[in-house]
Amino acid sequence: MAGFVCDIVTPRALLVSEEVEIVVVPGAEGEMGFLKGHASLVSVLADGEAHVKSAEDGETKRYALQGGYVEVTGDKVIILADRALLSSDIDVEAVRQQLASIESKLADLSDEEARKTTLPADKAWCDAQLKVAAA
Amino acid sequence: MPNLHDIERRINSVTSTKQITRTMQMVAAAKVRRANERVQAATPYADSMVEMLASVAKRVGGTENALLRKHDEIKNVLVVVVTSDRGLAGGFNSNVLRHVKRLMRNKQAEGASVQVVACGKKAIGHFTYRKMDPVLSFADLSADPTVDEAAAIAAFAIDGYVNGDVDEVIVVYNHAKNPVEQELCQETVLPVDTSTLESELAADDVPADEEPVLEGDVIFEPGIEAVLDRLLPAYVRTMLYHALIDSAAAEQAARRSAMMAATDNATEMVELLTRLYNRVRQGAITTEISEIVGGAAALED
Repeated sequence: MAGFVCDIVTPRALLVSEEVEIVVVPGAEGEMGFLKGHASLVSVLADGEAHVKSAEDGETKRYALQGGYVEVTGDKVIILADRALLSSDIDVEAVRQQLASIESKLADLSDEEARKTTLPADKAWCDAQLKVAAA
Repeated sequence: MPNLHDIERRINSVTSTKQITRTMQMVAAAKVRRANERVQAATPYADSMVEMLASVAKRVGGTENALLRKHDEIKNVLVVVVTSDRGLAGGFNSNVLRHVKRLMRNKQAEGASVQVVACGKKAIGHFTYRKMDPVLSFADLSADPTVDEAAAIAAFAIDGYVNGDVDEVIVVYNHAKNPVEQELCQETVLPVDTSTLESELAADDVPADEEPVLEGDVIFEPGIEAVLDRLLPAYVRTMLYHALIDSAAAEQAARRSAMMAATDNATEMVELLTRLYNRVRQGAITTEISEIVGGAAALED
């Protein structure tokens, strides 16, 4: 079956651009899967994981995603994520340490102050990575 | 007449300065490439973001989103000043700082108070020296800006804007127009002006004959307003991140030009001094010869 192109883009770089068969993303209201020829769609994504099945070797890759959107147009799926990482690249130990340091910093701040920093987002990212790594 | 030894010392000193400036020039040249690669890597995200936001904004029409709404009275202005951590880059930092000073004076004349977010040690130093402590400051990141830095500024700005503590957010930075030219840029980050999005799209590489990809019926999930609510903060972050990396690229380019000029000047100066040195040396020899000849002639008589 002919595939379609899926891009995963973060502000830092274009992470992946490959021919795929099916893409499953964590939509804000539940998981969504896209096959070739899906209607145009723009959706907010929840933090979570995306499955991407490559058209070439049929292998499924998993990515941890945070704070993104997905844009589906005729023959292309673009996942715009604030942060994204391949599941096999997640360093669980490092993430745990990071999470611990973020939590200790957050504990010192009031909710009001915390909102002006990126700490809540960092924490969510750590959680998302751990969940994907554990799955 | 300066003495020979002094000139020689100056030649040595200028030569070693030249070595340093030439090295800096080459280092900057290497960094320009890396900085430009980073700008390029960030472009796909920014392009898709602008495209998506433009198409969403077009459909929503007059929305009540807090980030799109203009505040009636502009009382508090937040200026994000992007400079470098290091100097020796020609007019790179002073251009930005001078522009900000003028901007602040204008805003203050209109009765607004101005707060500053300083990125780069040069800006921090400039403002603390003038007793205006920046509300947020970032040092040691100008050569290597991170998404987190942009996210921190954006979080602060958005929070302030939504609460009404800030009525306008402006970013001032150097845009790397091409490898030898930097252009001072002033952009209004908040309120987000959707009408400029489309012109931005047109200016980008989207060819005019190509239909925008998001035409016709598009499903928005969970809803068009919700999508917009999430897109706008991300757009602000992207804009700020773009300003930071663009400035980083411009900084290296500016340093390269400045150091190239310095190296050229040093070369010219060494040439000039060498000529002077030779003239003085020749003059001394001539004097000596004429003295000897004069002495010999005196003996003969």
